[in-house]
Amino acid sequence: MTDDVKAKRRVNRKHVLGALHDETGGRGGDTAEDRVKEYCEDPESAERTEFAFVGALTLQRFYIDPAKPTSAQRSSLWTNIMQRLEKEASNPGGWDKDTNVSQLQAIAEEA
Amino acid sequence: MTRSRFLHALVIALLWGVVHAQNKTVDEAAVDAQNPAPINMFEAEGGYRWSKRPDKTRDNESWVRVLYKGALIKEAGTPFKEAQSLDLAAPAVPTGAGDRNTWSLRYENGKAEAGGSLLEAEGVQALKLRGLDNLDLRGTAYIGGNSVGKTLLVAAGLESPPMRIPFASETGASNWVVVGINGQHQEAVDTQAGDANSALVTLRAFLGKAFGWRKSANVAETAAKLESQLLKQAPTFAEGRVLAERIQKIPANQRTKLQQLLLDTLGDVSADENWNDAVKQMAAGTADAITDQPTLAVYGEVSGWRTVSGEPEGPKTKSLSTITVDYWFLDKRDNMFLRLRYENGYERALPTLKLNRLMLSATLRF
Repeated sequence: MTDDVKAKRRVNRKHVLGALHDETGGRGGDTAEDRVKEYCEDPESAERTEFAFVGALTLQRFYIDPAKPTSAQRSSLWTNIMQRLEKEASNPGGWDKDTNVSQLQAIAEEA
Repeated sequence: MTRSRFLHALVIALLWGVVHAQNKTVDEAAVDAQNPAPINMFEAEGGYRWSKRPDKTRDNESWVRVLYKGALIKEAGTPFKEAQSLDLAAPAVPTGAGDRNTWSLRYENGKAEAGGSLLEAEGVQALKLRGLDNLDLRGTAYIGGNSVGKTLLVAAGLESPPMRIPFASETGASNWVVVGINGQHQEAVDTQAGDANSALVTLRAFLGKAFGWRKSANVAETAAKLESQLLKQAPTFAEGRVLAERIQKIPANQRTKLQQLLLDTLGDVSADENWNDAVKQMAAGTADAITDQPTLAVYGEVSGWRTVSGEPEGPKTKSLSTITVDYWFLDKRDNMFLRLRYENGYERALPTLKLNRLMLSATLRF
């Protein structure tokens, strides 16, 4: 895997975390907050364990209520991610509160 | 269902969960709860609702429901079973908690206190309006109806992106406020007397935080299990790439977490790096995240609307406020919790009936 591709995937993860913060104001709970902030400050140099840690955070950790994100909130989050990735693609669906950051990033990258 | 039957069913459900939890090692419990077994295939919920009508009379009731992949099944003879198989190249089993894409639809029979049915559907799409790009507005659509008043509501409008509640972010709480404007038409199904057009200003606000974070399982043991599963199916970088080609044929929204973890690992490592070390690091970070478990989550939400044009039945400003406390009372399970919820106000699909109720429920998901 080339370094460019690796760097892009790490930066895209930062964008997904940034979009989640925009939408919810949260950073995955008290135990994750500092680690998410630190990762977003320099995603390319972050330790591999941190790349995996922030990727495994589920959306419920940001939305708190198990009934969220609702359809409207998913649409809003998707819009935000697309803007950050500078893409225009429709939401293929198939993701919810149990989806983690890594999965959502992959869905957005493939859309 | 009588109160004694409800309590009986609730106790059985709770005991079953507790006994079942004790039969698992801590790492099995954590890994099964998150990876890669399908979660929320089944959901069992029982609760009791204390409801006060506007005329001060009470309308209490209990409920038990069992869902399979989101579909209600009978109350008796539920075929509980767990998915144990692991095949990294197999697509995820669909769960009932899935996305409804641009539209969400809710239909609840018997929920309306007068005994009727409630239907709501809503959607949001990004809109690009010339000259208003910076506002990042979204287009909204809403359909709601109920068989009690025999009315249908259709609305369309604009909505802001989520904004922060002042000072709330400093507490680390999740929070947002969304405001919007809507044009709404109410159609009375049986008569023309109830037809009305109106303009609404809408608001939705949420504030919530999880507390008491702890580890639901041993992180090192969970990481070792993830590492072993990955290395069993991809012992080398080269074999991992072959497996990845098969996994990549599965659409991203159908992959399991473990499949995506393997792709992440391959994407973050180069051929000259030590594959085993990379897998170990990725497993460690993942295990650290998936074993995090809050003890308590407290969240409140207000959704309201004001009729600025038109004559609604009752007050012009209506809202629904809810406060919920979720409590994960078992040390090693994150799929079983107690919920206390208070609701006060009006649902948009049933704006003539004021709710004032407290609910206590226990939920088991697996």
